[in-house]
Amino acid sequence: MVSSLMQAKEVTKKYKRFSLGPLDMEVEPGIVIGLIGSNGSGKSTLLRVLMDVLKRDSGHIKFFGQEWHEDDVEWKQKVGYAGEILDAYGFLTVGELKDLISRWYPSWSNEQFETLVKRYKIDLKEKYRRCSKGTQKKIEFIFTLCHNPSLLLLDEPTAGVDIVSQRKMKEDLLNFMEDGEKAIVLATHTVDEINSICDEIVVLESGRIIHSFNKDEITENWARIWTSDIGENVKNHPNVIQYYSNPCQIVTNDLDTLEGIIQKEQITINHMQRLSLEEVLEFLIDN
Amino acid sequence: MISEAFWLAKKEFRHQWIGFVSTILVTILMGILVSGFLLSGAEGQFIQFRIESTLFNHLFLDLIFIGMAPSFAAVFMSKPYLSYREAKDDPHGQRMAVLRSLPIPVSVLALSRTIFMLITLIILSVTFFGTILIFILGISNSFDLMTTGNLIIFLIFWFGYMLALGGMSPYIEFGTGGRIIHVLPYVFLGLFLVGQFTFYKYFGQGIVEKIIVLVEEIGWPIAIISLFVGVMCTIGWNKLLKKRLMNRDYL
Repeated sequence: MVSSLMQAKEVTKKYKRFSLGPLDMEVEPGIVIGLIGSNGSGKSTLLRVLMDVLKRDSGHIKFFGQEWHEDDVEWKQKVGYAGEILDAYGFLTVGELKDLISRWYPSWSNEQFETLVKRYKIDLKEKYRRCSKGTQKKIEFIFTLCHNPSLLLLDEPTAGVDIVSQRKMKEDLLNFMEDGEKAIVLATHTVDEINSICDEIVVLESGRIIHSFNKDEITENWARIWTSDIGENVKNHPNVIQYYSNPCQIVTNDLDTLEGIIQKEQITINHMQRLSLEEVLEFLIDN
Repeated sequence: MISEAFWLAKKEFRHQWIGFVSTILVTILMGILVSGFLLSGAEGQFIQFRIESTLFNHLFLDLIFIGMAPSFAAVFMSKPYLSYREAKDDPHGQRMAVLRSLPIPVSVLALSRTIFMLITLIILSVTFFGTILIFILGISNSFDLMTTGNLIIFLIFWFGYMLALGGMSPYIEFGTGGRIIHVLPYVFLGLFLVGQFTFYKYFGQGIVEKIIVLVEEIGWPIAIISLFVGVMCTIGWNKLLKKRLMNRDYL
């Protein structure tokens, strides 16, 4: 069995005003990685570089334990990618688009396609360009699932999608992960998606990975503490993310360690509250 | 690989059928206009260009064969060719991005573009030169320029030339940014004018006229050489396109 589905090492992509990387990333089976970051942080660029739609300047990318040549297609047959690029064929109907895409996947399941088309209420005769943004997202999402991929690379798959369909997409992604052999990299701005689907969170800023966490660690370790005082040792501690003096308040990413420090400094803890994932993500992206 | 490339080329024709039919119609119109000009300017005889040669006549004849012919390798009535704004968004590159994200080998993508170009070139050149021949033969009822055999050699020679340059078309469309589609014709026109005037200065003849003489003097070898060069160039452009597709950013 292959230990990692995707492995990127020292990958870079440079533009005039933006540079991606160098960054390392590994996707293991059974894991959903939430790729988060502010707009323009490089999430879409990273996924495009991984899919070879953008050419990397340096670094190595392995899919399914192997570095592939540009002409090799086996790895792409096992990857489902939704990256908002289908608009170039917007003059085709959804059915025609399906014909264009399905031809290249030996494992394409028409049955699954028809099931999903019904589930998401997609009109096959509608031109892709005429579909609403949310419907286009759903169509892309369906295309990524119908060839039984092992790895999904999804760029904001639920952006603009109605609430009911969002729930269905979440269900489909959880079903996709059921056997524990597959993985998802999900670029998203939706906290609910991270909360309910993701196992790991990778934070991108200006093209670099600045944080990489297990989601459970975040909810366990991040907290806000109200204290009687804040000493210099506390203020300068690396696990203190933010502090306020009036009233004295500390935000930490390692509750256990900081509790020890505070006790050592003989400061009284008045109140303590674990941060919600949303609050943590705000800190991660903002700071 | 070939069947996959043909499948893609066929799809492309289906996707672009409006642009393609419009291109054929405009090509017929161009053929009618050109034959009208040839007939009125030469008392109904094509050969008059050789007898009463003026620089303008040479320029016009050369422009038809050398300047216009390479455009028959592209569906020039499609949106990116008609609108700079459309071309600027690089629709060809964006479409290739979709195909590149699918499990399609780059060699298949490059070959499909070359096949598309070849079919387009054959259909449009036959349409254009066929229209001219039909009109000249139909109206003047005679064709004194050359024998049928020499005419075939002459046409094969030009097909070889069009092949040599036509391969550039998919490279420009899919290997470069969209803007080049609108810049290149001016560059090509500039080069053509410089080449044409230089040729006329040294040989006292137009390029096409010289080719007609060579066709009469050399015969089949010139057609074979031209076709060979055309095929080699097409293969070369295909290899260049493949290399470019492997290394370019599509978005």
